[in-house]
Amino acid sequence: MQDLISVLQLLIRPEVLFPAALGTFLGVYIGAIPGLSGTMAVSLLVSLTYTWSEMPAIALIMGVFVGVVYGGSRSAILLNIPGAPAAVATGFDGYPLAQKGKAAEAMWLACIQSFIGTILGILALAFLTPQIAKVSSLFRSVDYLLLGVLALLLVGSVSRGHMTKGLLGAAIGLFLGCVGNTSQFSVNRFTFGVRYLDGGIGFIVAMIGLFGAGEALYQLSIDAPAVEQNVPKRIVPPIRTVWKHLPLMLLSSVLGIFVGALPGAGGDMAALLGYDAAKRTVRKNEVPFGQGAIEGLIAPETANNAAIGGALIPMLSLGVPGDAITAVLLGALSMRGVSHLSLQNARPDLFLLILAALILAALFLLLFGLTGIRLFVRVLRIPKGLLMPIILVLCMVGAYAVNANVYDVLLMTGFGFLGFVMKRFDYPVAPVVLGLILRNLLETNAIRVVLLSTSGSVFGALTPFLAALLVLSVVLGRIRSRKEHV
Amino acid sequence: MTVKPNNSIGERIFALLLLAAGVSACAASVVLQLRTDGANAGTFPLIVSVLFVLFAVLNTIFVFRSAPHAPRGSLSTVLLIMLLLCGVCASLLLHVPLWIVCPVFLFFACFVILRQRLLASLITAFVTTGAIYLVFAVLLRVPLP
Repeated sequence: MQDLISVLQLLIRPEVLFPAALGTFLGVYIGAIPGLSGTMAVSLLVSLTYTWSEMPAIALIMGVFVGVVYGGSRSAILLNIPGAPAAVATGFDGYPLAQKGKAAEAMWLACIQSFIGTILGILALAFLTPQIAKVSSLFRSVDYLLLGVLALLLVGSVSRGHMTKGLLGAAIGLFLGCVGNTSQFSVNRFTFGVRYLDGGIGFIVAMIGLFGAGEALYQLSIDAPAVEQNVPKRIVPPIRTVWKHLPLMLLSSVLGIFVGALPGAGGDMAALLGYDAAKRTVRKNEVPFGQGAIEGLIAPETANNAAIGGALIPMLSLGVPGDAITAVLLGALSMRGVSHLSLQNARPDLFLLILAALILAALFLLLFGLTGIRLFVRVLRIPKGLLMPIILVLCMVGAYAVNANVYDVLLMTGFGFLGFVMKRFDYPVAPVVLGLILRNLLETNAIRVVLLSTSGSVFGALTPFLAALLVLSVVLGRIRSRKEHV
Repeated sequence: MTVKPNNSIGERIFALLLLAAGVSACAASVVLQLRTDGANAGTFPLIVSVLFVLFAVLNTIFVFRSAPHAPRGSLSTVLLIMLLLCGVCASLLLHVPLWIVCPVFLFFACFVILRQRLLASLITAFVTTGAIYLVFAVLLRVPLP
């Protein structure tokens, strides 16, 4: 009770309120810019707030964290360019909705879902931190490997009826992810003497190229007329829509919180798994998935924001970051001399401050997310001949901004052309990005499993239960895929 | 005698190129595995590249046997834009700053290739460049080329 009163008091303190508002505003708009990831936004602001006192600095950073995860959905819905990896799944149905003239509705719904996801994540952070931290600390390499394999089965969800092409795309992504000098081996793999490739192929550059530049080039090659955008007068989607999908929201939130709490698995994986869960569980969707299904927008948007609370759980209880952004946050706290191990017990005041800042950020997300949508939708009224070159320039600058490297622009252009050709010949591009994202998780844990197993093989480490689960996943995935084809 | 429907030449070429890429990836993985004996650096790429080849073979069979698709727009615009973007702009960025490359690309793409009006193309070129500088360089302090 005392803690609740403390949080409420913090909510109205100007040194928490205003920085949280500013952070959320910046997060929403920075998140919408392709190439400026949440990690980069938080890193930039951590350096800016280094001289600030603890309270406003943490409030601002939490605001950015919440804002940036939602912001990525705007460009994913409007232009099919995910502003951040966590918004990749949002574009699967968000962009088709925009193509049907429902961009404003999609963005409003995404905002509401992000708000709900964030709030549920905060509740989990407040009440379930010790329990979830205990479970996530029990995860071994073999469990992570299984998680990676399960995530790889998402290919079925994102292949839109082209299973072979989707699996081929995932294999390409996994192989491209192997390029470079990885942390496990001091060997340059498939770099062919090109020094630029030593660092590997960044999935943000690939994502900008495949989704952004690829889509822009594809749009330039077809003569489809511009779609008239319907901007409804209601600023909030009907409560009925939100209420109708309550079970899906809860499922996505639980998934988001849990996946977020697993070290190394962030909002991007939470969103993808949320999308997959929606495809598996929703039976009476009015529009098929991949063609503008509301359920396909609700699930990833709820899951990726719920993962914020989830990602903070291992950070605040075990000192282990849940994702890249929380790793930066952990660094920022260490710079301030905060001992991060079991922060909930060691610094309860800071724990409550983080909770208060997150609540404020969620509320401001609703404010900044629901306003300015009409302005964003106007982007789609710009003639294609002017808009597509602008998108290509944005992709170019976004790719450069990732590492300040001109060669990233060339790589992005290459991926753009690949994305265009794949789209032209009906190959889904999402599995390529999925493969790139999952390669590290799969390879790292497969090696650990082999090293730790007594038989020296990955199969030796699989318990009968895990093996059964794996087989069951593959069989279920196959059955579902057949059902979709029928 | 029935004639089997076939896909476009482009789609067939792309499927064959993917197959060739898969075979090359597989060969490179074998070489890597032999070169780094004991380090297991090539194990994972080898597994992945074998899957790559397998799916590429299945895909090639699928493409050669499936029904033709509807024609999909012109390629010439895309190739011209690609040439401008990759061949000219990205190469120029190595030597010339973005605030010169960006408006030049936008103007050529909008006015010359996509046949937009002169004034609209000029406004797009300069306003977009200005906005990018304002957001990236001034507000966010992201270094630009």
